[in-house]
Amino acid sequence: MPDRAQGSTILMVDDDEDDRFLVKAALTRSGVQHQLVCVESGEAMIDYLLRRRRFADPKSAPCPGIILLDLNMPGMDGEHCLRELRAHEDFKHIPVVILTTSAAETDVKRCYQLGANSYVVKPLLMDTMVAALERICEYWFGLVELVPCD
Amino acid sequence: MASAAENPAPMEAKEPWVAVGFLTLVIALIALGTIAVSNLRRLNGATNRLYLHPFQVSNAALNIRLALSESRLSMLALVHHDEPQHEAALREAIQDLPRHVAHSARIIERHFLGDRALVAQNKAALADWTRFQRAVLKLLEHDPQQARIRVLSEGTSRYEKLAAIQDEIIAFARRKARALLHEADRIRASSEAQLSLAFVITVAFAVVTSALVFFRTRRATSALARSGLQLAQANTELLRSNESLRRFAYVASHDLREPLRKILNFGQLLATEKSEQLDEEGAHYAQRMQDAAQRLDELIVNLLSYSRVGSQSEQQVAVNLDRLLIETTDDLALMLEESGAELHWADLPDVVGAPTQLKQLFQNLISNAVKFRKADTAPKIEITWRRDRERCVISVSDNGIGFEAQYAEKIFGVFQRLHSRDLYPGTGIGLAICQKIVEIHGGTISAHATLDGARFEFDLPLASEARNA
Repeated sequence: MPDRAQGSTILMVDDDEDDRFLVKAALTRSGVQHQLVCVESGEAMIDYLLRRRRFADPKSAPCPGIILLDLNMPGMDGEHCLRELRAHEDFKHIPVVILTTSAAETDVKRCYQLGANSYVVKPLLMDTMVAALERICEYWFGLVELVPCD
Repeated sequence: MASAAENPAPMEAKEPWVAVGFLTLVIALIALGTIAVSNLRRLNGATNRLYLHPFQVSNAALNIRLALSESRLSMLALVHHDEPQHEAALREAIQDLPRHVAHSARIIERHFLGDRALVAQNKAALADWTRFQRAVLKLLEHDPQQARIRVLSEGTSRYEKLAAIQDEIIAFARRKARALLHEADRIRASSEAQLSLAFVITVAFAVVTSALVFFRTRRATSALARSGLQLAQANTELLRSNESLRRFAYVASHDLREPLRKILNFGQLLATEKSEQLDEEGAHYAQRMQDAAQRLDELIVNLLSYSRVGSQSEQQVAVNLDRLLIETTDDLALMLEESGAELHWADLPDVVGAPTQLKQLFQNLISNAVKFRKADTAPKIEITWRRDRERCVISVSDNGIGFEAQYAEKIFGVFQRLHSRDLYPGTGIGLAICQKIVEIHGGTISAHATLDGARFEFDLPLASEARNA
């Protein structure tokens, strides 16, 4: 799908280096071909999307097809990011998949209320993590239509 | 920190001295009142004797003395023939004397408080005088000269003797009156003193009792206020500890499982990606590490579910246990079918409880019975009940492997296992959760080793219709 190449990037927002590494490892082990770009904070996500500061070069910040968003982060947390995304004219259409350790009912409810597209609890085992990522990508990049990047 | 002594018990039970104080006061008042009344009676009697009897006696004696004197003068006038025109009147005056003095003599006889011999003497002398007068009057008829001589000779001495008796009676009556006056003064003074004492004691009792009641009430009130405050503090403390437990649950679910997840993931990466660099022993270690980490996760999850039991405030409603058991067996259908389990229950009553918790209670007990079944025997589970006043005692018995009687209590401990994990998987939280659920419903649960398995017994509050049935 060359016409969608740019929109096939996955943007992962997570302050935890281990998690960023593990998701990358899981993606590598899966059959998923999509590019994974990771940022370590909500602030970095905004910079990335607005292509400023260290993401000033458009090549370093390909337009994301979906965003994997962690909730529990120092500074701008997941909910804050979600609010910013949904309030911004240019980014409100980007599907957001919450990927977090919290299975708390209140967190799930609030995230959907704030406009999250799905909510996934980080799987305990590598195998299940691989399977989860495969299904997420299959759904968002295979089954449903996304708004093409400019 | 609240000691038992500071907890105010109900006033009437705790303050018997109030009743004792009032009783003493009443008894003291009755005693003093009785003494004062008897004194007043005595005073009254004394007053009677003082003002009436001695007075009457002295009056009577004076009266007799005057009548006597008059009668003597009449007699003298008669025998000397001084006033012949009054002869008939003089005779009559003399003859009437006994009638004149009779009343006075009776008063003296009745009320004279002195020597009775004097009274007798008076009576005899009066009679003698009367006889003498009669004799003189008779003598006068035929021998006036002789009569005159008798009156002058015998009359004077008789008269003086009789007058002296009257004087003695009068003197005694006056003395007696003075003595009684003195006694009355004394009694009045002592009555006054007693009444004053009664008044002072009453006032003192009233003041002391009121003060005691006031201070004790204030103390009790402040103790009540204090314990109310302590209760409020304890309640706040409890809310805080509940909150921190919830916080712990959250932290446990997040922060504890977070590194665990990484151990598992990196362990798996090690076992797979780097498998060629590990020898057989290394791979074995990695596997054991993985197993332990997974078990730890299971423990955290179970601990969480244990701590969550009852933390969500589920409404207590009337629950139809028959329907609840049908739902429960539906949920466990696969397990029951695979094990070939037979489950029987009698018509169960309606109880009051939290439906989710009660479902978990039955679920845990039934799945326990299936899990701990004898290797070659299909599980047989029997649920019966009996009524115990406002509650129903439900018993779940099975034909499983049972347990040794000594573990009947230990079995409900958190993470308490009686068998190896290899034989029977699980963390040992199920019965701990059951116990917590039953306790939330105000009951107790007990485990009994039976001849062919185990029996669990617990009690739940009956619903009001079932209670009245």
